[in-house]
Amino acid sequence: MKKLSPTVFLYQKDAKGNSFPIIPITLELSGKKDFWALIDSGATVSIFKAEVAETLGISIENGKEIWLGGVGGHIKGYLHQVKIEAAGEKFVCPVVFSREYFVSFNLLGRQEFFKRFKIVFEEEKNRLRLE
Amino acid sequence: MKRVNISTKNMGQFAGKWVAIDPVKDTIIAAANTLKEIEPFITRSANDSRPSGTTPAAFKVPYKDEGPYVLVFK
Repeated sequence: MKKLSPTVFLYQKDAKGNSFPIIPITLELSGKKDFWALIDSGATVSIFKAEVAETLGISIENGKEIWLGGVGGHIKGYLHQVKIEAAGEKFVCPVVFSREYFVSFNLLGRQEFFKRFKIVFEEEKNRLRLE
Repeated sequence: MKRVNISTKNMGQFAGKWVAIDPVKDTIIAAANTLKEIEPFITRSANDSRPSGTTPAAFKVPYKDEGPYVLVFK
């Protein structure tokens, strides 16, 4: 999790020693709450766990219903516009919250987030740069 | 909820838990079964101007039998 500079982040290892490009972000509604999320170019849109919406005070089902297709089938989620801060940039980002998404990682997908940064994966150094 | 002070190098012992991680000290400062329990550690007022990455943030530690992943959503 160690951050090297405002825009360089070391990959995080899971329980099995696998490394992942995870960064800290701030989500803002009435207050601010901080989370770690995985940068995923395979995700068209950002997907966060239902618990995150609940702790932000977002009523999940008030968003726009959306079906997401993945390798294992389809899951239903709800699209919301969320204020995000990451690596010094603040912007509104579309985020899908789903009660059917059971992967541990929150995902930062391509819509809006990838427009904000040049994203450099440095696999050999186990680190990620946001420029 | 349990307050701890453990390096993120030992993340594996919290598999399946929600943890609050202090990114400055690179340590896990709290662990719990639910996000709600560690919420006080990751919550700030709207006026707090500290940038992201300088204050504790929540992370769900993957289960030991989770992955490998193919995280593709369209």
